[in-house]
Amino acid sequence: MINPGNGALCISIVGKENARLWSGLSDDASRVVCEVELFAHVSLDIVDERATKATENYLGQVYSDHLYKCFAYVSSTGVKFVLVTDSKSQGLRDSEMRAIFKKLHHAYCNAISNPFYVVGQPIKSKHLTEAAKQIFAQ
Amino acid sequence: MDPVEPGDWVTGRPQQLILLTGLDPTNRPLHNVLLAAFYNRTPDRPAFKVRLIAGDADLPQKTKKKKTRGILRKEWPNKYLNHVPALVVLFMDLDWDHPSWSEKLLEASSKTESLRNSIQHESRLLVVLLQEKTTSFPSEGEEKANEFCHHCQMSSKQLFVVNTAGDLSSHVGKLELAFHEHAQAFYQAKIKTIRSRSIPNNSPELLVRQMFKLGFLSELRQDTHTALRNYKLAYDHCQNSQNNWEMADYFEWRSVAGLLNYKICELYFLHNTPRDAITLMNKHMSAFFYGEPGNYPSAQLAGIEYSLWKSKQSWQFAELFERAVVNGLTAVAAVNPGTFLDYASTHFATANRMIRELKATSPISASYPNPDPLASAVDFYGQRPWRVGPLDTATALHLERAAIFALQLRLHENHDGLMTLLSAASMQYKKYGCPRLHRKIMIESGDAQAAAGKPEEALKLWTHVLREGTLPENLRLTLLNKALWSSYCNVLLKETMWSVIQLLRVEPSGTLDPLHQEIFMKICDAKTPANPFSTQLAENQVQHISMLWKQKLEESQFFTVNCSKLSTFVQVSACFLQTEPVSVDMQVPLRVTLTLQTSFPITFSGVRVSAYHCESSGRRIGTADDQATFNVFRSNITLQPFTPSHFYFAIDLKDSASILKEGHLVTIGRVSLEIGDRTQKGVFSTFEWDGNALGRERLNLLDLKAYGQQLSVRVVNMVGTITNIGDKNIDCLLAEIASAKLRLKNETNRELSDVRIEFKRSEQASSSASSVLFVDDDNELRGELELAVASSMKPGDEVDRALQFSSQLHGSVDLLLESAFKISGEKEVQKGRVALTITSEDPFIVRSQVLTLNGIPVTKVLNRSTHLLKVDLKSNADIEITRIDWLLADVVQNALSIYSENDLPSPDVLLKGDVVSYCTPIDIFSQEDSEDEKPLGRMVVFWRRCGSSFSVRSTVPLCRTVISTCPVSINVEVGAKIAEMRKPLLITYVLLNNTLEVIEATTSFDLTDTFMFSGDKLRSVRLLPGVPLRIEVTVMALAAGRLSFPRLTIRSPSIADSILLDALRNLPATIFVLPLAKEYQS
Repeated sequence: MINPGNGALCISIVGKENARLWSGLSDDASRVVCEVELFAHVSLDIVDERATKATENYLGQVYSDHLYKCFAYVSSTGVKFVLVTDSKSQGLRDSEMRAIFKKLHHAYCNAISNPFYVVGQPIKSKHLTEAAKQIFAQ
Repeated sequence: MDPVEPGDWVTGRPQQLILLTGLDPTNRPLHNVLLAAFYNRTPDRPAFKVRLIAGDADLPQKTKKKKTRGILRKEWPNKYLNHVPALVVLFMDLDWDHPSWSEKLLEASSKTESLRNSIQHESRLLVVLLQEKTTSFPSEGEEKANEFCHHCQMSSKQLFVVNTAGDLSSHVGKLELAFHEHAQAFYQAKIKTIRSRSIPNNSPELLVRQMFKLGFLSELRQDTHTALRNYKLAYDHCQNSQNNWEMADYFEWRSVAGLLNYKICELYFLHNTPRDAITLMNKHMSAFFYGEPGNYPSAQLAGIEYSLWKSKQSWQFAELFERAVVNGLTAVAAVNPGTFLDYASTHFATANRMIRELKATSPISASYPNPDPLASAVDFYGQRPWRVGPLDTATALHLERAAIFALQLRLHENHDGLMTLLSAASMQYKKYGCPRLHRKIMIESGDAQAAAGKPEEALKLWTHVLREGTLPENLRLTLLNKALWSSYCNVLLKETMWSVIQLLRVEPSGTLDPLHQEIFMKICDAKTPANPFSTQLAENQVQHISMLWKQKLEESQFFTVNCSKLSTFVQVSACFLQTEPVSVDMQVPLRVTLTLQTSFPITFSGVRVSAYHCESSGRRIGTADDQATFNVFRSNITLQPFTPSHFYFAIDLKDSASILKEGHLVTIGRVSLEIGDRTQKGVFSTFEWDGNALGRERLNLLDLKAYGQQLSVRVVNMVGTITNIGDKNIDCLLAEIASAKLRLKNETNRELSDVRIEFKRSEQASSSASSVLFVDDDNELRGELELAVASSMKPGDEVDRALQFSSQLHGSVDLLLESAFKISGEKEVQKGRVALTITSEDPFIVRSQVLTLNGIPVTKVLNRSTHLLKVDLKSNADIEITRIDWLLADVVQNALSIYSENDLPSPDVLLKGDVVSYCTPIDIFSQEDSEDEKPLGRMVVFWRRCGSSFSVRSTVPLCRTVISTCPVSINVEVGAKIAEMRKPLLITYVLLNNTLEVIEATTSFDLTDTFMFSGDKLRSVRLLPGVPLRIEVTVMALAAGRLSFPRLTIRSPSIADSILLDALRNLPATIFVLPLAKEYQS
């Protein structure tokens, strides 16, 4: 697996009721799409557990195994943002990870501001795509 | 090939070994009891185990070690756990005053000498004397003990005396503590010995061995913190020397590192520091799980060996973790034993896969080598059986080749082991509420079952996971492909179609796999489908499966796929096109919209819509779920890709008019698409969508097209009914007989006969409706009503009817009157509803209070005294009060009956807002002296609305008041009926003692300028219980008019002034005095 900068492989946005709203994969994850998606998916179990006790939106690293690490952020409305990185990557500092999630959250807000967007349905948004591209390219 | 099992010793806590000798439990009951007390080990007692030996012959002897190379001997821990005792304890029955004392001394000396000679490994010898008698002189005992020790060449600390006549359990407890201390000293000595051994060249093997031994002996010494330190040092040496390991020794080093990691984690959990244990395990994985597996004995075998070792490491930690959880540790979803079982299963699956690949790439046809190169027992952890003992190079190479060969022959995929790990992980994830991780394990279990050649089991697991709607898309497609392969291999027609119709769904911009299209089309045409994954199956297997498919499809096949919760190749929605309620004689239009979500057109043999009727609550009527009330069908439809096709149907309710009732709902229950011909040979498949799936589109609130669409319509009686166009909201007073003017209109277009209005309590929606009573034709109040309205009504006719009623509750009440009528020419009685709302309020507001005789309101009244009761009635409407009755409580007596049991001389007429007051004097006589609030009773008011002839009797409660104790009651009697100026007037004050004791008091008469006075101005009186005392004074008024009444003051040392002041407050405040000049006749 290619292991660039922050090692971000997948970004997933999941609604409060666990509806999959948006997900993006980096080019590096193209050969392990299923594994990365499955890892992001199962990490939501831990996110759900942590979110109930969290005192801030950013939950930090919530789950890891020998291949991947998962970071999470939960908005005030219960929307879950999950970022999966390669476990062998250098990783980012908490402040940098917070900034990434803030950026994602901002892009998400822009996306759902579309008056034709139906809440709870999958999102198709250039804002999110652009934001994810930038994160993967970092 | 499997990781080396450490042995049974590793599972429990190490215990010190103590050997007992000299006891005869078979023939001596006392010895038996003593031995049983030692055998009975509980956690609160010193951690050692005892074993009875017959004599010195059973003591372990030193064995000569073979000079072999290795790190940790497998049997070394067992040496101290089961063979080398810390203590040998000799028990002897010997009293101090034994008649053959000298002979006994010789015997003891001989026994101890013999044991001492046999004991090796520096175990300690202790002697316990069991005595039945005690000596009365302690010095004698000491003397004998010294003599005994001298003869047996032992110190006095090694001798213990137990008096068997006393409490044996306390002696055993003390002995155990003493044994424990001696045992610890033994292990400490051993530790010193081991530590003093020199390690040439700081050899890592020897360092690790030494640290492990020190750790283990510290554990035996019950010093777990020192043990932990030594184990950690040994582990660090292992980790630091990783780069220097020889490839042939990888397995041995990893085995030792794994053992040390296990011991350290075990102690961390024991010390209640689970975070440290988890951190160490994570570090252990980082340090040892990602290295090179090596290529000894071969690259493939080393890889398999490495994966199995990693799996074992994770499994062992999970076991430790689970044991800690059982002992009270709290785990969480992020870190729990399941996490490590999951890791273990992953590595185990990798090992299975590598074995499968090895078997596939290097098939071996030769027989197993003889002699077996793997038969040798190994001395060290991780040692290879073919490397035991010194061998010359040629033999070693030959053995090594044979061993590789034997290992490859012995290797097999362990599917059961993998499934066990997965099941254990699954249970843990369930326990800690991790549904997604649980489903991940199900996916992996499916893979394991497929690898084990059980595709039907795998299919069950994958389909179960696929039913969850929130799976990531790529994962869903992967699983669908797996399910397709599995169902194809098992020749499962329905399941194959279930997978294909989901795989056929693509986005308009997406591309469809032509293989899926081909499989779908071939199955529809009853032809053998193409093999979805030709590479996974051998040619002969493909042929066999194709033959099975052919056989299957030669017969008629019927199956139904429930697509309600699936994302399939067709998107279906349905709705009624009428939102208004419908009558049973109507046809209801409905629309079904089908959108093909795949890239090629499909022709269906038909679309069927099923509807059923249900109660207004939505409860289905009838038992069979699949039994539809209405069915409509359209044959031969072709759907074009991504183009919505609308199909319009009409449901004729007349067909089921007999079972439809007003209020029922007709609901679209199912839409089915059919392929094939049911009557002919071939495949007939049905794809069904139930009501929930059909209404899903309507959840889109912003979809304007969906506005007004609904899956249900309500059935109403459209024949028409009787309506009320008169009073609908009536205001009335509580309990009055009020009247509502109903104007009933025939809204049907038919002539009606026998029109009636009925009120039935059981039909009411509101429970408060039963509080309304109706006046029937006999002027009686009834709970239910049946009122004839008209014998005949033509269409549009209006009939006025007064409805008299009485509401017994405050507030608003909704009534549902039932209209019943017959349509001329028909026998059946039709029914309708007429709604009325009645709002009732109180006729008046009541306020009552107690006053003194002087008209001053009081909050509490004096017992045995007279007061005034005043009731104010404030009218809420124009009413007339015709009579009032006082229903006073037991503690109150009406001092003067007015109006009682009689009508008022003339009715009191009150307009809305007027207030009328009624007063009556009351005497309070309470037997109790408590100062609780007491009710004064009720008042009955007879009233009627102005102009009405119906009188209403209302009972209203009077106020509550506190009755306070009055030790002395004071009344006054005036000598003449009329007081005249300058004429003597006798005034008598009557004092009555209400208590049971004599009261001393002083009375004084207050002089004023308006009266001349004759009598005692100051007087000391003694009030006897129950005897009235009269104080008479004669006064002469010097002025005329309303004068202040002559005042008496009373004081008593035994009664508070405030109480006496209250008693005096009831005396008249003023007196009216006539002028002198006029003659006055009484």
